[in-house]
Amino acid sequence: MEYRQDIAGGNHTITMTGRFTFADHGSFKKIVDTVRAGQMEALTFNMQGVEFIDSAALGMLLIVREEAQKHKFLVALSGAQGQVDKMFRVSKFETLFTLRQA
Amino acid sequence: MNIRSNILEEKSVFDARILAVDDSDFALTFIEEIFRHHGFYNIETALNGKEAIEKALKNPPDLVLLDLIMPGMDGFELCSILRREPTLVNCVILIQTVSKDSSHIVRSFNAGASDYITKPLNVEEMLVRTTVHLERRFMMNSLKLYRERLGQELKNARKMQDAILPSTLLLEQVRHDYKLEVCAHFEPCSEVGGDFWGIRRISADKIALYCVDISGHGVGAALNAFRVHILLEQLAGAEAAASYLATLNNALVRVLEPGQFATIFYGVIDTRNGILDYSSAGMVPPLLYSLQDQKVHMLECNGVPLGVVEGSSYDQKSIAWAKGDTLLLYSDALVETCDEKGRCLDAQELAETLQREQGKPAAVLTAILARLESFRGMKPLGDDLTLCVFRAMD
Repeated sequence: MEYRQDIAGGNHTITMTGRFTFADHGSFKKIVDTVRAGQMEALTFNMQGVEFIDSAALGMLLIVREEAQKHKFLVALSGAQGQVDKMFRVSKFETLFTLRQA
Repeated sequence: MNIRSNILEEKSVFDARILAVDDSDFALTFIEEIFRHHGFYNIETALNGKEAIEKALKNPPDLVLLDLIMPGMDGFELCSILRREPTLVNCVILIQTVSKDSSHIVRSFNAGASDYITKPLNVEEMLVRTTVHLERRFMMNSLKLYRERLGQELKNARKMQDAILPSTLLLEQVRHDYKLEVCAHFEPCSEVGGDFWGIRRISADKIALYCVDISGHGVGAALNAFRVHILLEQLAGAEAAASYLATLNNALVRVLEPGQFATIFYGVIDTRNGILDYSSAGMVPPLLYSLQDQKVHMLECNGVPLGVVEGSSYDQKSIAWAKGDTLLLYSDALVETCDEKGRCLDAQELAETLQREQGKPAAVLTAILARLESFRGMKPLGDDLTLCVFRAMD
């Protein structure tokens, strides 16, 4: 998985591409560190370019959700499609995150 | 350079067994004195190849310091013989040579030498090379022992993990008491994993079955699998799928770390009334082959994975369960293992397999695993795999 982070004021957008899996644990830690640093008003993961997500990656998103709750800001997942969308629906992620279509 | 202090820092190097081989008695005495002076104490000497082999086999050295030019058996031949001995495969062999001919040096390495030192001996160089090679050897030994110990521990852990799966005896009892035929396959992607499946007797005509996939892989996931298994076997209320998952979820929220969770399919078969009640928490939807209409139904049932949010509630659905019906439960590795072109098994193909094999558990399992093999080739699994087939016997 590759990602790009864009910041507009307190709104952060992380645009991800490729396969988001257990193997991305190391690079995702940087994202979590950014979240832990606080100073965000909202965080959106643009997942339109993510073609596959596994359960370990769902766990990483849940860690971000946990941190966001501590720092009192919202996390949105946008543009999920195909297998990624299916995984979000099976796990009822709409009850845990704000889900947005592309 | 302070060689002595360098050596002293790694005490284990002092304990090294050193065998010096030289046809000159004077040279041997000189070498032995140098080593002793610098703190080494476990030193043997040999004046020829035959004596060296005898001593090396009797008390395998960590390092052999070997003169290349000797009458009779020369250093090349001795080096080859020593290196072929199983107890000396990892022994450090330092060749001493007066020759600066590169062909001699190459021949020394081909004979199994670890390194060479030119004569006349430079004491500091000899000690430094000895120390460096011994430290590396000891480190490699230490790593080897660590790997062996870890491997044995993981083997034991795997046995324990296999023991939480239903035993052959339990499956025979279930076959007899509930007319339920079961075939299953569990394969972790490393030594241990976070998947498991199980059966829990509820009453004379009700039996629960489940398939669990813990997030992550390896030891951490396996430890969480044990936690979830204990709760699954002990918590009360196992006869009602949805409320049972809610209870299980609340128990797990208290013990799992953020980012860790369990997905589960949990079903309760009522053999008297012919009903399967089921709930799911993020598990890939199972498939049910109905003998009556010979169709395959996907048991869609969504739910937040267990251990994420306290107070989560779960939907419960029901479907008819009649003689000849077959339920296929599986973890996501089954549909996420792809070939080099990215093609994977999908629910459609699994459904076709169920229909083709008329839901017969052994045949279904064999066919699916063979198909998975064709996608997977020689590649290891990327995730833990569980596949269970349950059939109401005719």
